[in-house]
Amino acid sequence: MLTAVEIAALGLSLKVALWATFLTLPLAVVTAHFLARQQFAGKILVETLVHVPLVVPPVVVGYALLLFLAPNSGFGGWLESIGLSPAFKWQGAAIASGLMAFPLMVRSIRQAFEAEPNSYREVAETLGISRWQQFSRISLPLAFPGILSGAVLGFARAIGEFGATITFVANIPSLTQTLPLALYSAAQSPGGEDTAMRFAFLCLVPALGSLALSEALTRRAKAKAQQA
Amino acid sequence: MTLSQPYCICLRWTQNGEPAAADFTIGSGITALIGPSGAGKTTVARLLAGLQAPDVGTISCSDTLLYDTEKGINVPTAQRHIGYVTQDPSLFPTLSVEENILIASALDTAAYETLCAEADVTDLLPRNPQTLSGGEARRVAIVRALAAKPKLLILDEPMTGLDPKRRKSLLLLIRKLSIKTNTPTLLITHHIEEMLLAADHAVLMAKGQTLATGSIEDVIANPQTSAHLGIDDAGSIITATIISRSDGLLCADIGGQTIYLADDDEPIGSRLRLRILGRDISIAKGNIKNISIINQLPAIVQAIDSQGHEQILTLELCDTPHKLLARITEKSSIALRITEGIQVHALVKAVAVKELMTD
Repeated sequence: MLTAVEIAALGLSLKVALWATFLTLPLAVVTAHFLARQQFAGKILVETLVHVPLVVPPVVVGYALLLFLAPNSGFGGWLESIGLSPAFKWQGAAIASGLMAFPLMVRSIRQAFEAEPNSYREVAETLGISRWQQFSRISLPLAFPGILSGAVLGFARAIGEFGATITFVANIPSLTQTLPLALYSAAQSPGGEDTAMRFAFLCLVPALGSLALSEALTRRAKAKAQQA
Repeated sequence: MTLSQPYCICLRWTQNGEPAAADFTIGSGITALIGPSGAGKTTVARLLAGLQAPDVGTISCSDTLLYDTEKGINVPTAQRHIGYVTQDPSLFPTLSVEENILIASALDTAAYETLCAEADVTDLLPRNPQTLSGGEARRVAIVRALAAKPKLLILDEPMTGLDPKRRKSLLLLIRKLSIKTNTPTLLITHHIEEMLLAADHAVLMAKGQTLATGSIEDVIANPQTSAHLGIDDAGSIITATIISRSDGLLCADIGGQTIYLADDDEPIGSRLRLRILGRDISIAKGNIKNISIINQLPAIVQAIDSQGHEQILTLELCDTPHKLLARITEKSSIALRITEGIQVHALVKAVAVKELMTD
């Protein structure tokens, strides 16, 4: 059976990862569609920027969030004054995890949009179908399995988030201590090996589960795209 | 059914580093754009529809300038109102057949229902496009394009991949719909047969240039057509009116002369489009007795076009507006001393006169 600390950490992890996914998904869909369709000067710059969280140490992302959103910063101070400061709260953990998951989601969803045959867009243009109709009635439903797969992948990444989270919202039990943070704490304390091992297994289950689900969805999406 | 004015198409672009140009008009009915592969037919279609931009050049349709590199004009595809259907019907799999048609429809309910009935797609409406056969999907794609009320419909080899029977029925449907909806249609094909079955006018294109334009009869009788589309298909088209029938033969008036053809149950008085292939015509100097060939048509040799060891003779049928293309060997030509301007008789077997369609 799980201990109260484990249940709290698992619950918090799921809450943080779900919110991170919900908040990031719309932005990831829009960005992916934009990158899949638009050609413009400086596109490579935007692509690089999107992928930054994937390549820099997560602690850098967490530190950047701290700089912009901590109560002693300009914008963070304003958020604090209206009671919406995310620093050292689970909401902050969700923002940090969402930001780290963003590039992974964009990559996966972009592939789904790019799999749509070019001829659909050409025909839609000759028919005079508006861009919004093209997106909402053709591209979006067609890319749905890919979007779902991207969301699951993002969720898995958010569940495993450590560096950016601990830097931005610290490691406060039952407030910001997600599973990886709890594992870290247990591993740091003398005689905590067993507890750490239990947390490690708890981390593995949702991550592996969502990865497998994402892989299955990607395959289905590919099969569907080939059929079309 | 007349267009207030025909569309004058003027295209300039670069193809494989060479300047390419296409100038032609599209009137009411069907205009065939015909030429060998690599002629630039699809490029013309895509340039017109705005799916491709020329490196340098202009595109205009009648007095509307659609594209001009110098003036920086590029009317977006969606605002050109040019329907475009290819051999790939590209029906959106996320929508039903009916939603596919309605998503861009500019028709009222009555007109929409009539169009669906004319094209025989009414039964297909509730279906998923992925369950349609190739022929059905193309019918739907054409209906979808027409429902958007285009100013011009471009069909780019829409018959490719269909068996001969379905090709023919799709062509006849295209002709019917083009006339009923009064939509000028540009039919791109490299099959002379398809052009002859459906089109009223033709444009011959090769290597990025338009070589001949005009009525089907003019274009098919142009030696350039056989030079680019194969000498086996060299031949001519004649419009005729059936005036009598006897002994299993139909006698047809071709305006000044008569021609006999095998009886195909056409009623007297009907107007036909007849096709006579160059290889089915023999040349004689004068009338010949004791021969099975019934049609012996007096004609003047107007032009001689040498193609290898063969010659394509352009014959002007005496007292008629019609021309025939006759294909003979160089040897026969020398033996008969064929020169431009002499009178000969074109011998055509009645069974070699093919009926294409009834107007």
